[in-house]
Amino acid sequence: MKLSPYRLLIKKAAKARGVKFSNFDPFGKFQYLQKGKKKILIDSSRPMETSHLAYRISDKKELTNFILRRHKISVPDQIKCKEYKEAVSFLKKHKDIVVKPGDSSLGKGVTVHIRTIPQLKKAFTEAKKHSKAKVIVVEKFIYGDDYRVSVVDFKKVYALQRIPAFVDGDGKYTVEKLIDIKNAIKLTYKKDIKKDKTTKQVLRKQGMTLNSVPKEGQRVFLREIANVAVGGTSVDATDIMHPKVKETAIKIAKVLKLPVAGIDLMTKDIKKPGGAVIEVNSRPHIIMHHYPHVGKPRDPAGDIIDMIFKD
Amino acid sequence: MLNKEDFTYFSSYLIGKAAEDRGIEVKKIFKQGELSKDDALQLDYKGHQEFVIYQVTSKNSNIAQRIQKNKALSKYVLRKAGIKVAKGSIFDHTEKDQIIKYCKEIKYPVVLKPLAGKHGTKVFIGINSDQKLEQALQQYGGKYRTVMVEKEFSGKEYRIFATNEKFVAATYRVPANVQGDGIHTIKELIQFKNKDPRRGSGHKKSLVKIRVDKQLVNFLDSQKKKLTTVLKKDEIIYLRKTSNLSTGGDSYDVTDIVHPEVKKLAVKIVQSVPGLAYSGIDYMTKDISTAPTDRNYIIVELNGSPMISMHHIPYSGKERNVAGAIIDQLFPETVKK
Repeated sequence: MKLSPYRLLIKKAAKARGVKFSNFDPFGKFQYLQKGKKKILIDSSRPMETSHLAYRISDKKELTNFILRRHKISVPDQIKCKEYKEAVSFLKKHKDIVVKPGDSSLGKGVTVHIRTIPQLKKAFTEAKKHSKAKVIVVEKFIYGDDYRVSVVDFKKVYALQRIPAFVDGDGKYTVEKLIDIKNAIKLTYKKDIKKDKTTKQVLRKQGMTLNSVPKEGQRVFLREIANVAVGGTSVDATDIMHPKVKETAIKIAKVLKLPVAGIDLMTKDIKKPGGAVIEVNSRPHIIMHHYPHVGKPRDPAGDIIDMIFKD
Repeated sequence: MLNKEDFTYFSSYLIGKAAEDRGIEVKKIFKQGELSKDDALQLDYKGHQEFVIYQVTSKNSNIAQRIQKNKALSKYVLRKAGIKVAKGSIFDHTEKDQIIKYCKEIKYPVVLKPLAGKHGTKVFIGINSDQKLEQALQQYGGKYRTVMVEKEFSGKEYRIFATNEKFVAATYRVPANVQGDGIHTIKELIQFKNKDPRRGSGHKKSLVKIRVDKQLVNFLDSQKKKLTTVLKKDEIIYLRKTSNLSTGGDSYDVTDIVHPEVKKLAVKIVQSVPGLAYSGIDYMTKDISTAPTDRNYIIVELNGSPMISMHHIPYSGKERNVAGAIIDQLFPETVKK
């Protein structure tokens, strides 16, 4: 059976620490980690210690938002909509919003930076397509850069900036050629920038096409969402993160009782305190910290193994 | 004081109530339906804080819960631990020929159920011919593509609540039924039974009103009865094939008659799933007061969010404080020694 890259990462970290890694079931869902008498299960980056309750709270975006707010952690204003008209009045109040399914992952069905009714209408339909429970969440759009802050064992914290897919112009090549050049650079956990419908739409919003030639030094974004899986760039920011940001991340993991947590943070400057928590993942793709495109690689998988076998 | 009316699930209320009885401060953290239809409670006791959402506590691991929910995976785990489960296999609902072939191999009667389903949705029992099999298969598709085909086991359906430390309670569950009096029609008897204040709709109460629908009428028809039929005195008629309480079934407390070896087995079952702290075990056997052997019982399924209300307010028999056992696990410091 072929293991996913996320599980291979755990396997590698386990082996390096003399921990036995084996399959638990014939379906490849869960794996055993064993050292001495201790034998526990792991599901990619989510250890057995993560309770079903903690999973359930982090899986429901509106519940995470509610509980974090109760603990005085900055989160965007948000409502759950049953009907489209609730989203309309939310847009009127906040002017610039995000629409997302209440229960999906990996940015599926999410539209950001919505300012008009036609944009809202389209986004609402899109979000509905990706929500099993047909729960739509609308929240105020927070300006800033997109960071993933991962916490292991309520003490180790790693930060990574995610920049939406982009190319930098040189005054000579077309956007299409620049994409090809960038895609030719192969790195672990670096995905190709797509030349699909969404890319064309994002270009059109900037008055460009794939055939446009951007000026030298001009940065052209090809996606609105900072997702590495669709060609985004990742930059390690662990060392520059403000101590308050780190403190808040640990507090979030404690409040939600998540031994491994991936926090999506929007902030204008991670070197300063502040920002808002968009969502929290109970099985984060920690692989992005192991292979940042820019900056120092980190080892959260090793920390997870150390956490499990600390005693 | 918590108000029963503020809860979507009676079982959630019972957990909150058990905590209050223990001197734990209980707050409902959002109003019914405000954020979600789930009931969410915050429990505080001398600096120790816990949340309970729906009937989920911090004690069961997410991995354990997912093992329970996945019928194929939970059967695999139980079988490996030496616990008996029904013989069966998984198919896509379109693989008709393979399914028929498999049924010939394990021999009718068989049971069909969706791999991912709950509360008895799309469960067909007593299938004893190719024709009935084909009819049942037509009910699958869409959300319910993967079908689990199992050899039918004959026995009574019990629900056991156990933790990884102790057996707590057992209930015998009977499909929705009415008993004749020689005067009233089936329809009237259903109406009388539904007047019982313990019966509600959804999961608001411990028992559920019997709903007269097409399925019920068809099932009566298969027994050559109609809604207007007058039943003889003491004649019992079943209105559903499955014993789910959510379709109007009755629950009888049998805690006191459970064989000691069954109690031990129940704890072993919970322990066999890594990270599981408690579970509602669907236990099938002819008589729960006899010791389990290799052939006289099977585990049908494990329920991570069991309707514990069935033990608290059974249709008949003694009331059992299952919520108390859950609080024992969450707040061991409140257990009287």
